[in-house]
Order: sequence, then structure tokens, then C-alpha cells
Amino acid sequence: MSESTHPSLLVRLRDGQDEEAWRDFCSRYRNLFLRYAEARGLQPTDCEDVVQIALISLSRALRGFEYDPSRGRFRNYLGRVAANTVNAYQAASARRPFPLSDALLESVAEVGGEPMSTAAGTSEADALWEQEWMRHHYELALSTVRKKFDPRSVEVFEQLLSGASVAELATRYDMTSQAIHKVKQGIRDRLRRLIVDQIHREETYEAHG
Amino acid sequence: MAEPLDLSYEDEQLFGLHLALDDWVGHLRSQLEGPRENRFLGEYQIVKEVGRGSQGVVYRAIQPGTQREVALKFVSGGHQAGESSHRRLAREVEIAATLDHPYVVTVHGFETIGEHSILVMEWVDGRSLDQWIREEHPSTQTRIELFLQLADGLHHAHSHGVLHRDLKPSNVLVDRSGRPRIVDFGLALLEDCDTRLTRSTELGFVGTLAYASPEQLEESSPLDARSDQYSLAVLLFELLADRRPFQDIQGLAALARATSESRAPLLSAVMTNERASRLPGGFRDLSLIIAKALERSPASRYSSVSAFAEDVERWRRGFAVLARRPRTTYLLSKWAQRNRLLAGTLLLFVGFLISFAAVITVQNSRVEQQRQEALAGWSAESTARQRALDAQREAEEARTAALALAESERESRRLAEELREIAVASEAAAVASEGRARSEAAAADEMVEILLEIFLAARPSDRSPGSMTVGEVLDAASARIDTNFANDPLANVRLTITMARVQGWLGRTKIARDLSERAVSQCLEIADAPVAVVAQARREFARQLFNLGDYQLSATQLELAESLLSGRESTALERIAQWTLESKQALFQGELKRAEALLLESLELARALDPPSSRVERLIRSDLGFVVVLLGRFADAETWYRSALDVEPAEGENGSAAFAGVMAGLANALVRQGKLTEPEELLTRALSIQEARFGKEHPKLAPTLASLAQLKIRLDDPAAAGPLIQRVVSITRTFSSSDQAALVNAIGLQANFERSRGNLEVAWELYEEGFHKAREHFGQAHVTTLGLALNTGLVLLELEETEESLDLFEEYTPIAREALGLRHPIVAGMIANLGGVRSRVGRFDEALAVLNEAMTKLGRFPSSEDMFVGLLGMRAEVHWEQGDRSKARADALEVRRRLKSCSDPAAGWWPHARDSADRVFEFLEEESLR
Repeated sequence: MSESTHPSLLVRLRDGQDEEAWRDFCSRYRNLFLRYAEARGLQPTDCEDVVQIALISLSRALRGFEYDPSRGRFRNYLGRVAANTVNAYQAASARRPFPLSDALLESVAEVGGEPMSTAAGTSEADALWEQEWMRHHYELALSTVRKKFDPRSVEVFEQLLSGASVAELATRYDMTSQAIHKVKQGIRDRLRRLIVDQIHREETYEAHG
Repeated sequence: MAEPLDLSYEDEQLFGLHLALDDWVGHLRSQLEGPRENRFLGEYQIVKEVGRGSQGVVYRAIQPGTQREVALKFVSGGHQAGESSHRRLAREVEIAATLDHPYVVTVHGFETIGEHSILVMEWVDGRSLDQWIREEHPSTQTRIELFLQLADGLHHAHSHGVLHRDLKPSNVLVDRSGRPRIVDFGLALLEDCDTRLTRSTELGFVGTLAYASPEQLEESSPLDARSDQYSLAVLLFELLADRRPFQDIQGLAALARATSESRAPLLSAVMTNERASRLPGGFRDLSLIIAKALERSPASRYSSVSAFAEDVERWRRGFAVLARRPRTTYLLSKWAQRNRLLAGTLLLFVGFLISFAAVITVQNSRVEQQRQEALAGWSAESTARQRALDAQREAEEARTAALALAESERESRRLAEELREIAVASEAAAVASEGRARSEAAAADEMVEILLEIFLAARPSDRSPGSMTVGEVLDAASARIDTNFANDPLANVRLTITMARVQGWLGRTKIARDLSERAVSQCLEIADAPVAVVAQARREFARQLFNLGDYQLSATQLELAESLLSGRESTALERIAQWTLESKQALFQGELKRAEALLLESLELARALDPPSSRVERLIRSDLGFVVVLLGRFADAETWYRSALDVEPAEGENGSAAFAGVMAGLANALVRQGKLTEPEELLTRALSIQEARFGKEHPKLAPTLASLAQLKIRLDDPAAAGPLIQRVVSITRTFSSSDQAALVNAIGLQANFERSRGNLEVAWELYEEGFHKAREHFGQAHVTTLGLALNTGLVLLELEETEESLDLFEEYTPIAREALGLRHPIVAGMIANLGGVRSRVGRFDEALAVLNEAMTKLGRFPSSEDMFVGLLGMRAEVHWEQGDRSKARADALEVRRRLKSCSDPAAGWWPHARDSADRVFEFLEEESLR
């Protein structure tokens, strides 16, 4: 892998011109935002709006963004933007249906202007973000595992996830319990390494390889 | 990777990686699939999380006691639950529990378990509407059926004072059997509540934007059932067009502006052709229905969802719909669709126009230009082709001009020589006075000087304004001939003949024909005109007539010239020539019967000619075919054309252009009778003969191409018709002259084409333009004008311009009847229309009167039985619309009885009559089922 030689995704986003970097960013985080908005109880159609607003305000805020690790983790920053967008959206909807658009974008962008707020708090919204963020990374890692692992092992693992017992699977796949245990362990270790790597890249803003 | 990394303690915990392997699998599973499965919530066992909505998470669960499957709509504790949510749910239950309808999800109750508020509903094993559409790709029919069911459910709620307020695809569940259920009356408030206050102060706006009505978005007025109607219309729009009316608008404020300030696009404007083509009976009316339900002002929408649904149902069954332009009081367009009789008649008649023209030449007018532009849009391919043609044409024009000038110069020299010869001959013969001989010599000299002078003034390479074109040179010369040789008729004749020939070379055929015709008549005025000169004039006339495709007149002129030279008795031929000329004039004046009579007399004479002239005879037969087609007697026309082909060809005549003309005529007569197999080959053969003789872009190809295009339209093959029409237009444009008849033909053909493709507005404009031009040029009683009047009226009807259509038919039916007689298909078509339109505006007695009167008379002619039965079918429908079922049934039965004994049920009006009868029986059966 050569992530370290990749220009930082964030640096690329900063100049505001790098279309590809932006697409990369969107494809990486769109789903996370979407799930978070859903978890916050928004309707699917509203979720789309929220994600769009969040991404647009991020695209503004990340221009000229200087990373200062001492001020907090990038994921917390993203979480604040997500939470603020949803809050602002709900507030705006409650006030009036349509002052949204620019006014709302501005309010979210202001959050972005002060990006590394560590005053994340422990609100329900943050817990939800934390959980969706974790799921996001699990799913990302799982999708890599599905692509790279022996299909049979992946199948066994999926069966385990859907609640099948080891004994059941041993019979079905004509394997020893030991072997199934190994699959379990192997995939967990792999997931762990992948997640470590993903989080590392997220925190250092490296582009995916 | 730069350095070995590991997770922080917090992340290890978060990801559950600190857990023992087996526990970790459980942790991962719960994280990925939701945390609550197989847990209990009060007495309910959670099976699965199935969705999250604005009201909270939804679970599928089992009620252990009854083993009943239920859906639990769950407001999770913490950030979401609050006083307002709880109160909202309580109200939802209160209202929704009153609803009991197959298309509304049943609500069992409302429970509070711990800190959770839970709504217990019927579990529907299905998918949300959007998912169902994506996965099942249901047919258009199914989608419309589903819409009607939703409308039914929604109307039920409305009639119980319940508004949905948030209708959208995710709030519609479709079960395995395809039955839809509306869920989530969660936003519903009792209508008599103070809706405005509650909505703005307590709940805020929670409807889903894309489906929200303008009044919801603006909060401008209290909501009522018409707001749900709007949402339902958006849903129907999306079901049919696979997109929402305002979907391209990004952002919420923009959407609010769009829905409040602009009209939703018409469904017909955004639907893909593919889907549109699968809609029964076109989708224009449906577009109007949806547009009405999508009106910005609730007052302009339907009074209720059920009225909306009923109109869709009416549309589906082919009836007039209520949604229509405001200025008309009663919508009735559907009639034309149900009454295929009319449509069939319509196409039949425009085809008439096509064979009309011996000549197809069209003015290069602005109108034509616009039409050309419209045509250019057909396809990129045809555009490219058009460009190529344009370029080619320009090149050819330049070349022709250059050649013509060179040719003219040669001709002028020849002319000078000829004139000298005349002078010398005159002098030498000294037949008349010396003065005349001298004058001819002087004339020759003078003419040569004139021409040289003019030719020197013209520079073919100089195209700057003010320079003379070759045509202008010749026009000037012609004018000078008339003034300079007024006292010398013979010289005048000879010069005129020469001018005619030169004009002919230039492709200015009509001018050439006029000049040569004048030469002939001048000859006849000169008492002692030399036979050779007269024969030359007739030959020239014959040549120009031939070039114009007027084979028959041409043939007689040629025969006359030959008989002059051979000293043969020519009285009979002279008379034929005279009569055929008169018949042509009668034809253009719309006096079809006189034209026919003259031709029949000419034929008598031609058959008695000694020696016989097969050329003359065949061409008279062919012209008879042509006139008889216009008289609406297609089978007779077929006989005439076939007899023309049977006439033994003269030497070198087989495969000639004249033959091709007869074949094209025969094809036409066959198409009119609905015999669609033979014509294609005939037309293809005719076309290849003509192409070999004239090239691919000659005006004489236009009628054949037009017939072929017409055939393709009849065969429902617009893809093949398009390029053919393009060729016709290109040709008519290229050979610009001012032939109104040809212009009208081209317009009628295009109108037919556009109509066959469903472009009614375009077709209407074309028909009307053709109609006005025809009226101007031929008069209002001419068959062409009347055919176009019928078409214009029919398209108006299809466009729902009923009053205008009615006015037109009221005005033109008597005119047509007077001019063409009752048995003419145009007339019968007009009568059928008049009856139908009167019926549709509720004037049933008048409708029946016009039909009955016509039927009484038509009934006396066994050969017009198909038309009679066609009107009978129409009468059955009028009876039905009037509500007189027994008479409707009697007429429809009579139609069926006569159909059994007719010889060819596919010919003439029989199919239309059968359709009428079928429809009436269908209606009657439907009614008896209810």
C-alpha cells in the first residue's frame, strides 16, 4: 500500500478545485450521513436533503481548512456537522417549512467555520453518530473482506452473523468446529486490521488507496 | 503504512473488539442489523426492525397470546420522544382507529411501554410503493389500478374527516398480492381541529416536501382534502412518468417557489415515448386530469379525491374527461378516439391530395422554411441528410444556371439562324406580300439583336444583386418578343416556341408550358399558319406537358402534331384534346362529375380513332381513375387504372414514366380501399422507373413518394414514412415555383404524418394552413378543400376544441354534400362527425336527425352499404350516449347482422362499423355487470 505517498485528501479538498477529491469524499461519507440522519428519525426524502446540505456546507468549510490534531478528531468534527445540520433542519422545519436553503446552509457552515470544537458533549445525537460511525467502518471493512476473502469463508462468516450455530455450520459445510472457529478468528483479525487502517487514514485524511 | 497502528481503548470498546470471539460475533450482528431483534417490548416479541420514519422506528413483532403479527411503530426513548410526539401519536390512533378500509392499514391500538410510545398496527407483508415499483416494474395498467385503489382508501379517510397530510410512496405498502395499503395517518388531524394553529406552533411542518401541496408549503390556508389530492396527483404522476413533476429542482426553497409560482409540467411533456405508447387511448387527457389535480389553487382542483379518481376511470374507459380547458363546458374529445370511423376516414382523405398533383412544386415560402425546420428535428440522421441535400442542391443550382446560360447562348445563336432561315424561306417562297417577307427578315435581325443585347448584359458568374439571372434574361426576352413582334404573328409564334424550350431547359417548366400553349393558340389564330410551325408548337406543348407529368394532354397534343404532319384527319383528336383540357379545368374547379363525363366522352372518341392511339387511350383511362378516386369510388378507380395498364403499350413506351404514373395511381386506389399489400410493390416499381428516368430529386417523384409515405402511415410505420416525407418536402422546396396544389399536397401529407405520430397540435396547424390555402386557391366547394375541412375538424375534435369542430362541420357538411353528393366518403365522413359532435354536446335529437336522413338515402345504394352500416354504428353509439340502451342494442345488433353477410369485412367502413358495435356491446355488458 502506498497511502503515505498519496496527497492528503484534505489537502486536495482544501484547494476547492479538485473534483475527484470531492467525489471521493462524498462517496466515502455520504452513506454515513444518510444513516445518521435516518437514525435521527428523519424521513428518507428529508434525509437526502440533509445529506446534501451537510455535504455542501462541508465543501465550503473544508476549503482553507487547517488540520490541528490537538483540537479533536476529524470524526467528531464530521459528527458535529451532521448533528448541526439535522438540528438546523428540524428547527427550520418547525419554524417554517421554507426558510431553508441559503439560510440553513449558512448556519451549518458556521459550525464548519469552527471545526474542531471538542465540546462534543455526550448527547444522544453524539451517541448516535458514534454508533453510525462505527457501523460505517464495520461495513466498509466487511465489504473489503467480502471482496478479498475466500468466498466459502465469507459465506460461513455471514451465516454466523445471521445467527447460525457453529455445530450447525460444521455439518452444513462439512468442516470441523475448529475450522469454523478459525474462520471467525481470521475474519475478526482481518476486520480489526482494516478498521485500524481506515481510522488511521480518516484521521490523517489520506485518500483511499 | 508508515508505522504500526492500533486502536485507542475507546475505539476497541466501541467496535467490541475487546470481547471474546463468540460475544464479538453477537455484538457485530446486533450492530449491523439493529439492536432490538428477538427482544421483547412489553408483551410483543420483536422480529425485526423494518424501517425508520419521521414518527420513529418501526418493528415487525409478534403478539405472543394471539400469535398475531403486528407492526410496532416505535418512538424510541431519548432524543425523539417528547410531549408533542406522544400527543401526535395518541391523536393518530384516535383517528386512524376509526378507519376500516381494504386499502388503509388497520390500527389495533396504542400502548405505552416503559418510556416508549408504541403504535400497534396490522402487519403488512410487503414493500413500500417505491420499492415495489423498482422491483416489480408493474405495467401501466397495474399502476393506474393501484392509483384508483389508493384514491378509494384516501377518499374513505376523507369521508371520515381524516386527512393524511403526508401521502408519499413510502407511506404506501404493497403486499404480496399487489394490494396497496395507506399507512401513517400520523400527520392526520381531525379536519375540524384548528389545523393552522396546531400545524405551525406544535408540529411544525412535517410533510414530505416533494409531495406537499403548495398550500402546505406556503401555509397560506388551512388544509383540506384537496391537499391530499395534490399529493396523490404527484404520486400518480410519478407512477406514470417515473419522475416527479418538480424533481429537477434542487433545494427546498426552490421547490416551494416552483410549486407556488409555476405550473407543474404536463405529464405528456415529460413521459417517455415508450411508456406513453403503452397508455391506452393516448395520454393527453390523462395529462389534463393530473394537471387539474395539481393546480396551484385548491379551488381549481377536483372537488374530491373520488372525483379525481372517477375522471381517471372515465379516461381509462375511453370517455370524455372533466379535466379540460376552462372555456369549453363539456369535454368530449374521447369520441374521436372511440370512433375510429372518423380517424380512418380522415387518413383516407388526406391521401387524396397526394395523387392530385401531376406536379409537385412548392413555394420556397417562409411557411415552408418553418416546416422544414420542424422536419429537421425528426432525427439527427435526417437532419444530416437534409444538410447534404441542401449542399448538393445548391451545387446543382449553380451548375444548372451555368449550363442553362451556355445553353441559352447556343440557343440564341440557333435562334438567330432559324430566324434568318425563316426570312430567307419567306422571301424565297414569296407566298404572300413582299412586305411580310421583309418584315420577317427584319424581325429576325431585330430578335438577334435583342437577345445578344440581353445576353451580354447577363453574367452568369455574377450573383451580386442587380445582375440579371438567366431567368430574368428570358423573361425580358419574352416580353420584348410580344411588344416587338405584335404585328408579325408567325415570327412571334416561332420565337415563343423557342423561348418555351429554353425555359424548359432551365427547369421552369410551368412557364415553358404556358409559353408553348400560347404558341399553339397563336397558331390557331393565324389563318394560313404553316403546318410545320403548328406541329412544332404542338410538339413543344406536348413536351412541356409531359415534363409536368400531364401525360394525357401531352399524348393528345403529340398525336395531333403527328396527324398534322401525316395529313391525317385530326378532328377527333382535336376534340379529345379540347375535352381533356376542359376536364382538367373542371377537376381543378372541383366539378368532378363534369370532369368524369368529359373524360368518358374522350374515351369513346379515342377508342374510335383510326389508326388507334394506345397512348391516348391509356392516359384517358388513367385520368378517369384519378377523377374517380376523387369521387370516392375507389373500386371503380382500381378498374380504370388496371384497364389503363392493360392497354397495349406503344413502341418504346413500356416501363416509361407514363406507365409509372399509372402504377402509382393504381396503388393509390388500392390504399384507399384498405388493400395494403399490392401497393408497396407498385409504388416501388413506379419509383424506380421514375428515378431512372428523372433522377432521385425530380418533382415527378413527389406524388409517388407521397403515396408511398401515405401507405407507410397507414401501415403504422412512421419510421419509414418520415424519410419519404422528407424527400417530398425537399423536392417540393427545390423546385420552387408557385404551385398551390402541390403546396397543399405537401402540407396535407405532413399533417397526416404528424397526426399519425400523435402530434396533434402540429397536425392541426398544418391541416388548417392547408385548408385555408385550398379554400383560397380552389374555392370552398373543392374536393381538396373539403377533405382538408374534414381533417381539420377531426383534429380539432381530438384536441378537444369541440365548439370549433362543431362549427366547422355544421358549415361544411352542407357544402360538401352539395358539391360531392351524399355517397362521397368525405360527405359521409362529415355527416358521421356532425352527428357525433352534436351528440357529444348533448344535442341528441339533431345528431340522430342528421344520421337518419343520410342513412335513409344511403340505404338505397347497395354499393354504399359499408357507409350506411358505418353510420348505423355511429347511431348506435349516439343512442347509447343518450341513454337509450334498447335502441343502441338494436342498432349494434343490426351492424353485426350485416357484417356477417358482407363480402369483405376489412374493406371500406366495415371495420369502423364493427368497432362501434363492439363498443356499444362492451358498454352494455359493463353496465349489466354493475
